[in-house]
Amino acid sequence: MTITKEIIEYIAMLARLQLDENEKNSMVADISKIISYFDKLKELDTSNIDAMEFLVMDEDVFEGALRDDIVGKSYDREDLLHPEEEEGSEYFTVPRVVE
Amino acid sequence: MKLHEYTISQLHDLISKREISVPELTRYMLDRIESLDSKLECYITVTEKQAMEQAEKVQKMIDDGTLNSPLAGIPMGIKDNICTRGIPTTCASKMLSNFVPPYDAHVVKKLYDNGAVLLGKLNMDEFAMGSSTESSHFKKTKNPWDTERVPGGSSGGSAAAVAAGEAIYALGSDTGGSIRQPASFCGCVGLKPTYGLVSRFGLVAYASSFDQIGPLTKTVTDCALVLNAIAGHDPMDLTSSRRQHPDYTKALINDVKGMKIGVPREFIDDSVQKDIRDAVLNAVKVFSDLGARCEEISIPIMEYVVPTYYIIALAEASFNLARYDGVKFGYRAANPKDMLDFCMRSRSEGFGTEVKRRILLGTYVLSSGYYDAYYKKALKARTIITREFNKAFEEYDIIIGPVSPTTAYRIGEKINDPVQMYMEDIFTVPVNIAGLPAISIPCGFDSKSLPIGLQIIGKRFDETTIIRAAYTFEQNTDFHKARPSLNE
Repeated sequence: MTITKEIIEYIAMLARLQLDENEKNSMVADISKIISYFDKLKELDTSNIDAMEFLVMDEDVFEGALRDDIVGKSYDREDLLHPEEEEGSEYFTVPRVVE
Repeated sequence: MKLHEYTISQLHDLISKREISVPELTRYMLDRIESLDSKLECYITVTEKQAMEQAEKVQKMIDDGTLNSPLAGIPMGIKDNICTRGIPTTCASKMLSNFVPPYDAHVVKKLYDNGAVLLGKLNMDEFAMGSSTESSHFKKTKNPWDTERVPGGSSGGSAAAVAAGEAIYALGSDTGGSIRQPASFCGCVGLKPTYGLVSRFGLVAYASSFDQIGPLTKTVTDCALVLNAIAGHDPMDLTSSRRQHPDYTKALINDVKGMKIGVPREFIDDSVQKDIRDAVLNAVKVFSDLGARCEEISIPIMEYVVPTYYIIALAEASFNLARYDGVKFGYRAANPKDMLDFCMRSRSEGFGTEVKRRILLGTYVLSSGYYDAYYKKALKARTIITREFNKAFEEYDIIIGPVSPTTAYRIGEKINDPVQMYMEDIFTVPVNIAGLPAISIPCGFDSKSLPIGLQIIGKRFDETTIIRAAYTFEQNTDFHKARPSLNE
């Protein structure tokens, strides 16, 4: 699989990252090298192997993990908001979404 | 001997006998940081005021008899991806440079409950993504043994601070070797506990199916003391185990007679620097002479562990880091055109190159058309790797080998070759893949007098046996006694 500049632009969009031309070029080079290293895994025979076995490494983790909903203590609103931009506000502030 | 060279247990004695007070000890450590850290750059934030207040408070509780813990009054540092209420927790990233957590991580709360005194927050690779601490947005930590060289990573600040006596002990996090490899580069003891033993509540997530928090200390005894304090169930972390953990200081027994030790030939092949191989083989001899049964074994899957680890880790990283959208916390781009521009520019301006590279790779292996070929394939490889290690543990109590194929390298030497950097994680990543515990302890020096680490890997939740083996090795060798000179 060849990693092209178009592929990098596509996954950058999916990942919500904006790259300049220099970054794009170096990512094409680095990611091509890394992905071809990952391709080594294709030699490994994984037929009849369960992909999710690691999830049950420790069964006791899930025992009793389901519990009743209980009201807990929440955080103070002012601790969660951005100190400068949202001073005195009760909400997170973002650019206008609805015209 | 100077105060910063003492271990936790020695300082506990001095404090108990009233030979030193907690505020005196804390002041001494803060002065040491002040004089040394401009050179080593271990700390991102030094919490001088809080540390002195905490020291006074702890001393009072010791005097009242209301606090009796081996950690009471001992000054320590915490990696900057572990949340501390009211104290910046930056992950060494521009993205979180203004983030002040509204709560303490579970482990921080546990240490405070034990009377620990926090000196500050320690440098690391940005979002724990790296093996040299060079990807920190703020500074490059130097290796105390040779300040031209890296301390390892990602918990490089933690390891360098412990080795240089800028903290008596530290906490780090280990996703693919980030405690053990810097411990080996800096000549200290570093433990990655079993997945599920220590709560990650308050640890900024990198790769959630691998991340664990653990101690970096000068000795195995100190390691057991800190592990006692931080291990245990926490309902805030769904992966936290409910089993009762033993008192790890009971494992400090100088005896390995009859212990069965496997030495994988894949861990001591030609890819390993010769003096590291020699040091590991010497360790095998030390254990054999003490009555352990050491045998060469084979773990053929080793050639696939690095790609398996990176595919899964980066996939998890790409969705864990999706939360940094500029809204709820972290860096915000100025004058956004609209919501998409706000999100994209906040992320692009806030993250450094290595983090972007890893997010892109993780997004790629999860994207439609590549998911089965990479991500699902790696999960299946994970099953095979876990089974191979579990099978080895049916016959052996512990597995030993090197931590890293090289000793500390020069700053800048490898940063431009990501594949090479990733490949050097070969001996540490299988431990995270299989959820096992492993410790790094000093076992020698290379031709340039740089420390070499021995890795001891155990069965799941069998920290007791690796601590016992590590303690026995330490009691019968002198490597842990060496300290960097720092031209003081």
